[in-house]
Amino acid sequence: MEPTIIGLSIKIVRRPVSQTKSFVMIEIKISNDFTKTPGARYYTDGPNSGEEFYDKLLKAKYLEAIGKGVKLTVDLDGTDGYASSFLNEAFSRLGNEFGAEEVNRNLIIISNEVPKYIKKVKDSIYEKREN
Amino acid sequence: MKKGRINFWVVCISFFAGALISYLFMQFEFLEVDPTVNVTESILSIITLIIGLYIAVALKKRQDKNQNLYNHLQSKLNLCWESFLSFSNQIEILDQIPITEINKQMKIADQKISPLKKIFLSFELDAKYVNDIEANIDNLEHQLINKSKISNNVVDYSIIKGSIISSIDKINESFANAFKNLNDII
Repeated sequence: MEPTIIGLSIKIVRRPVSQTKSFVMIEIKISNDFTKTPGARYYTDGPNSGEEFYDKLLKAKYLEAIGKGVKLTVDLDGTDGYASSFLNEAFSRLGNEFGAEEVNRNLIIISNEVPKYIKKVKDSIYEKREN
Repeated sequence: MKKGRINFWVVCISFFAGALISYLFMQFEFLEVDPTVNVTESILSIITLIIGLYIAVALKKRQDKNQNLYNHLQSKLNLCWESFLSFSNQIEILDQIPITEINKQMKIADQKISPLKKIFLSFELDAKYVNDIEANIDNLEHQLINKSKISNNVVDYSIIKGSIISSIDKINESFANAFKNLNDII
């Protein structure tokens, strides 16, 4: 009886970059990218305000994440703490400008040191602002 | 090892002595001791003694467990209050405070209260008083940050100092209530 020969070929296909983008995230670590000592609500209150954070960093990074079709991660750990007005100003602006539901879908908040901040951010996103 | 063996004998001797004494008392009628042994009564007295011992040990264990939990919660609550008092003294003396200091102290307070709350919840204890403390501290932060004048990241609360002081009093009152009720909760 003659032996049967079986041929095996393996083809390695590289996944296109566009298909791997869901694994990439845009991240803001406030203590590294903005400040370790966040301020209050407005520019007029002093440096490192929530308004400044939104204008200079949060909005730009959010647009970048949306453009790439990925989520934006905001890491709140590593700072000396946040005034509620700082978080409220930055994230209520984001929610009002881009839509609360959409922002909520595209945003990941990390706050291991003070988990309470996550609720404050979520509440702010859904807060309606008067223009 | 030796200590364990001695304890064993002490317990055994005490047990039999207790059983004998209770038996003798049961036989004691008009100052006359009945020399016959009533088997049923003897067995009953031994069973009663064992049940009594079991209840005493169970109650003691429960009391020790509650005492440990009470001590733990009391020390945590105390630490939390001490930390808040040093911050509130600073607020009471001054009229202005950097916002970074408020943020820092609020973060510290939250990091002390959150674990306390978790302990209350995990032991299924009423966390009402801890929630009160947390809510009152949040209220103080709200007043300092949103009702005061802020310039160059320095909070000037001189105009609303009266209501700030009353908020601090409220927080101290909620700490006192938590201490007072810790005994009833556990």
